[in-house]
Amino acid sequence: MATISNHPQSEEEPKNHEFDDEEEEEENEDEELEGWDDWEAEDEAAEGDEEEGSDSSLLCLFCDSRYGSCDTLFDHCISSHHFDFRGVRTKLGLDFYGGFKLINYVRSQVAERRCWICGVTCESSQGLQNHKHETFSIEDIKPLWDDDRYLKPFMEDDSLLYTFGEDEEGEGEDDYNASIDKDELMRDLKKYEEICIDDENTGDMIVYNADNSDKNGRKGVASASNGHLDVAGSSKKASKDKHLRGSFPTLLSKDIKNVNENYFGAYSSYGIHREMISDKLRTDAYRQAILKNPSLLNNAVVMDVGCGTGILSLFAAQAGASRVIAVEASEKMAAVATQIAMDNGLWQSKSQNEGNKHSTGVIEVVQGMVEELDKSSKIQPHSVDVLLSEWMGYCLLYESMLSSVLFARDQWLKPGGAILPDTATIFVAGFGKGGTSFPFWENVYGFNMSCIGKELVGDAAKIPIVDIVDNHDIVTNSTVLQTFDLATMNHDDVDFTASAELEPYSGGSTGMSNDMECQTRSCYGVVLWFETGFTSRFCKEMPVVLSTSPYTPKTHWSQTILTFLEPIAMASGKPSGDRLAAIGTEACPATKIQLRVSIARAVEHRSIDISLETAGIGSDGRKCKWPVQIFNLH
Amino acid sequence: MGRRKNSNDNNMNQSSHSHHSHNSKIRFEDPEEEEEETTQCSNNLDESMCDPECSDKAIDEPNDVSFMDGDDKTSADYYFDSYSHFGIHEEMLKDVVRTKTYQNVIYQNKFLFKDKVVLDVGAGTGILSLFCAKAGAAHVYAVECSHMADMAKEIVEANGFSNVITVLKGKIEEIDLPVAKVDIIISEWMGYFLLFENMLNTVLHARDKWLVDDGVVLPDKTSLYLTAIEDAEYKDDKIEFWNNVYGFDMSCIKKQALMEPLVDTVDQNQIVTNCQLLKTMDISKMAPGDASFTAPFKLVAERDDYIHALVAYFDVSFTKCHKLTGFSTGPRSRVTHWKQTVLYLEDVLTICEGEAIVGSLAVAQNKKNPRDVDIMLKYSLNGRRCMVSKTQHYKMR
Repeated sequence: MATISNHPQSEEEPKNHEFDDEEEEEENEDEELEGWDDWEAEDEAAEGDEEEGSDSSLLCLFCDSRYGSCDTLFDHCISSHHFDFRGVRTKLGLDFYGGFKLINYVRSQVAERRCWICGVTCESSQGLQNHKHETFSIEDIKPLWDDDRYLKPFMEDDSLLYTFGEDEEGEGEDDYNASIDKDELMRDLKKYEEICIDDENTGDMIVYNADNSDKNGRKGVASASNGHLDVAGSSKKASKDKHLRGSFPTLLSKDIKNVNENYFGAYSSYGIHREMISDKLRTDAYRQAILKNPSLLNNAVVMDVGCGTGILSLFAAQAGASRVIAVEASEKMAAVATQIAMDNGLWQSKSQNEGNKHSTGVIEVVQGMVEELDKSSKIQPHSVDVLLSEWMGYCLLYESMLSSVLFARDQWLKPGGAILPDTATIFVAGFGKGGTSFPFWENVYGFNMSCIGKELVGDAAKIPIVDIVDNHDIVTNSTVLQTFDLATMNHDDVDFTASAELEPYSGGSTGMSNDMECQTRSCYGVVLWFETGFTSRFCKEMPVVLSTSPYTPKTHWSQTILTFLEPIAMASGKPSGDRLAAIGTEACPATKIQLRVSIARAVEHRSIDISLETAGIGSDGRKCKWPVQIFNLH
Repeated sequence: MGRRKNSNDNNMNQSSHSHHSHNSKIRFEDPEEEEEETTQCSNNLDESMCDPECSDKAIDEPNDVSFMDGDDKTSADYYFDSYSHFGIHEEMLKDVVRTKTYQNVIYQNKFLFKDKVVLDVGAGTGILSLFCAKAGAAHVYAVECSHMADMAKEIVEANGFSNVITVLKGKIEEIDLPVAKVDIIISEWMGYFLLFENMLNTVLHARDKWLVDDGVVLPDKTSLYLTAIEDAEYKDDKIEFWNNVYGFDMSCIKKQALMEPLVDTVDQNQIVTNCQLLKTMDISKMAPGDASFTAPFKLVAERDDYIHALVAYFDVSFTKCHKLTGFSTGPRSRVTHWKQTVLYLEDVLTICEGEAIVGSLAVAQNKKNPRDVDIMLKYSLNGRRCMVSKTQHYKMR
C-alpha cells in the first residue's frame, strides 16, 4: 500500500509475510493503477483541446483544460467547478504541504469520478462536473485529505504542485513558511515516486531529501558533523551538504545566496539524527532531566530550539508539558518532526476547532530560524516556562547554537523561567605522545614513514582535531577553563579568554616508558572538552550532568585536540638538571604549563577561532613562552 | 547469531593511535570520501587544508571530479578530509589482509619483478612501490595525484630507494611517463562493493597506454559475490530503530535508511544460503564498460531461517604468481577495511531449507555522479512460508 502512511509500525513485526497479506496489498495497488489508467486516457483525449500551447502546463483539477498560470487555473476552477482553491487554503490556513495534499486529493477523487466533497461516485466525468453542492463546511471535510498519502503526487509531472505556492513567497507565517525550494521538493517527490514503485508497506513522509539522507545515514557519518539540529544553521551539517549539492549541480549557483538554506537542507539527513539519538549519554541526560523533574515540566510551556526529529519535544510532552513549541530551521526536518509528533499522537493540530485525533497533542512544530520567529506573533513574548535545547557543538562552541538559545531566552522565556541545560563548562588537560599520530608512522611494514606523522602533527598545530582521546594519554591534571551560566550570560560572553595551569599528572598512568627513570613526560598539546549541567537550580528533583570528558564514556562530540608547536617535557617538582637548557626540554623539564586560551566566534558562519598561548615554568621559576598559536575551523 | 562489531568499539581498542583509529568515527565510515582520497582526487582537498589560502589554486587544477567536490566543500570539510586523508592511509596500511597479500605477492614472486619496469597506479604512501623496489624491480614509477605524492617522495628518500622509485605527481590520464612501456602495472584500486568510487578505469587506462603486450596487471582477477543473511539484531539497530525511539514512533524515517547499502562486517554464521558468483572481471582484458552489468542469481537456503538482507563482497586474485594468491573480503574470511556491503530487504523473508531466492542484481554508475553506484535488486521467493517478488533500489554515495 504504497501510498498509505502514518502506519505506526512499532508494533508490526514484519517477520513473516504470509501470502495472504501480499495478495491484499497487491489488490490495493491494482485499484490505484486502474484509477491512474483512466486518468491517463482522459488526459490524452484532451490533448487536442489545448488552447495555450506548450506553456499551458497546468492541468485543471476537474476537466481537461490547461492553463499557463496558477491564477488563471484557479479562476477557472472557481467559475467552472465551484472550487476555490485559494479560498480553501486561506480559510483553513493550509500551509504548502496542506495545499499540496489538497491538490493530490482532489485529483485522486476526480480520477475515480468521485466528488471530492461528498464522495459520491458519478457515472461519467461529465456527470461529476455537473454534480454540485450548494453549501458545505470546508472544515468538516478537511480530514479527508489531511493524510500524508496525498503528499505523493497523484499525477506524474504535475506542474501545479510546484507552482501553486510560488506567489506566496515571503508571506509564509505559518508553520512552514512558503520559501520552500519547490524544485528540490519536486525532485525529492519524484525520487520518492521512483522509490515507491515496488514498495508495499510504507508510504512515509516524502518531504525529506532522499539524496541527502541516503548519504548520511548509511554509515553513521553523522558523527563527523556532530550533530544536533541547529536552528540557526551550522556548517558541520553543511559538511554533509556537499553531497546534496553534488547531486544537484543546478543548485550550485545559488549556493552563496542560500548558505543558510543549504545548511538547513543538510540537517534533513536522518543519519545525523540517528547518530545523535543513539548517543545514549546525550539523549539519556536530556531524558532524565526532562522526565525526572515533574515539578518543572508539568503543565509548562516548553520551547525546543533546534528540535530535529523532535525527540526532546516528545520527552517534554511525555513529561506533561501543556504546550511544546518545537522550532526547527530545516524545512525537511520540521516536516519530519511534525510527522513524528503526529505518528505518536502528540501533534497539536493547527485548526483548533477541529475534532480529529491529533488535537489532543501538545507539540507544535514551527519551521524557521529562531531569530526570525518574532515575525509570527503566535508565540507571546516571555511566555515560555522552560527553554530546552541541545545546542552544543564540538569544543562546546564550534558551530554551536548557543547564541540562538540566548536569543530565544531573551525573547520568549518568562522572567525566572528555566533553561535546560543551564550551565556549560569547558575543561582542559595536557596529552602525551600517545595522543598524537607519531607512533604509527615510525615503522610501517619495515619502512619509515615518519614524515607523515610530522606533517600531521604540524597541521594539528594549526587546526583542531576532533577525536576521542584515551584517558591514558592524558599527562596532566584536568582543570576548568571556562564556565557559562546560560540563565544569566550575555550574548557577548560567548567569546572569552581564560587562563589555566597544568601540572604533571601524578596519578598512576602507565603509558610512558620513561616514567620510571626520570618521571619526565612530554606534553604534546591540550585536549578540551565540556560538560553541561541541568543543575538543581531548575532541576530540583533530579539534577543531571552531561559530560564529554575522556574519563567518561564517549559521546559523538568526542574531544577537541590542540597540538603544541613542539612537545614540552614536564616533570613534577624536580630541580632542573641544567640551568642553561631551555625550559621544556628533556634537560630542563617544566614543572607547570601555563595556558591562555581565547575562543571567539569567527567572521564566518558559526565557526570559531581558538588562540592558545603556552608558557612552560621551570623548577627555578624561569618561564619560557612559545609563540601564540591560532587554531581555526572555518 | 554472531554479531557484527561496532566499528567505533573496535577503535576503542586501538588506544595507542587513538586519533586515527577514532577518526574513523568521524570520517572513515564515510567510505566514498575516503576511497576517493586514496585513489585519485585528494590533492585539491589536502592542499586547501594545509593552506586554506591556496584553495583557489587547488580549484584551478584540472581535475574535474574533485573540482566539483572542492567547490562544494566548506573549509570544515577540508579540515576533516585532510585529517582523515592520512587516516585512510593508516587504515589501509593496518588492513593486514590487504597489505600483507600485496607484500607476499611481491616478495614471494621476485621472478615477476626482477629487472622489470613497474607502474604503481595510485601509489598513496608508496608502500607497494617500496615492496616492488625491494623485490628487485629495475625501476618503479609511482603515480599519485594527491598531496600524498610529496609524502611518498620523502618516504622513498628516507628509505633509500630514490634511485629505483620515481614518484610522479599527477593524474594517470594526464601524466607523461619517462618510458614508453612498462612490464607490470600494480594497483590497489578496489572500492567498497568493489566498484564504489574505485580506480578501475584509471588502471585500465594505464594498461592500454603503457603495458607491454605480455605485461602483467596485479591483481588481474576479481569477482563479486552475493549471499543472503539473517540479520535481525542489526536490522533492528539500523532500520527498525526508527520504529521505537525512546518509546516514540519515528518510522517515517525508515524508508530512507533502507536505500543505503551498509558497509559493515557480517558474521559468517549469519549466512543462510549459498554464495552466488555475480561477475568476474579480468583486469588484463576487460573494457571499462564491463564494470556496469546485470547478473542473475539464485540463492538456495541451507537451513530454515529468516532473511533480512543480501550481502555483497568481492575477492581479488593474482593469478600470475607461482601459486595462486589473493584475498577475499567475504564474511568467511578475515575482516578487511572493505568489510562487506549489506543490502537490507524491505521485508523479512521466511525461507525453508532448499528454497531459493532468485533474481538479478544490476550495478551501474550513477549518471549524475559517476563515482556513485546505483544498484537495482530484483528478487523473488516462492516458498512455503513466504511468497514475495520485489524490486529495490539502492544508492551508494
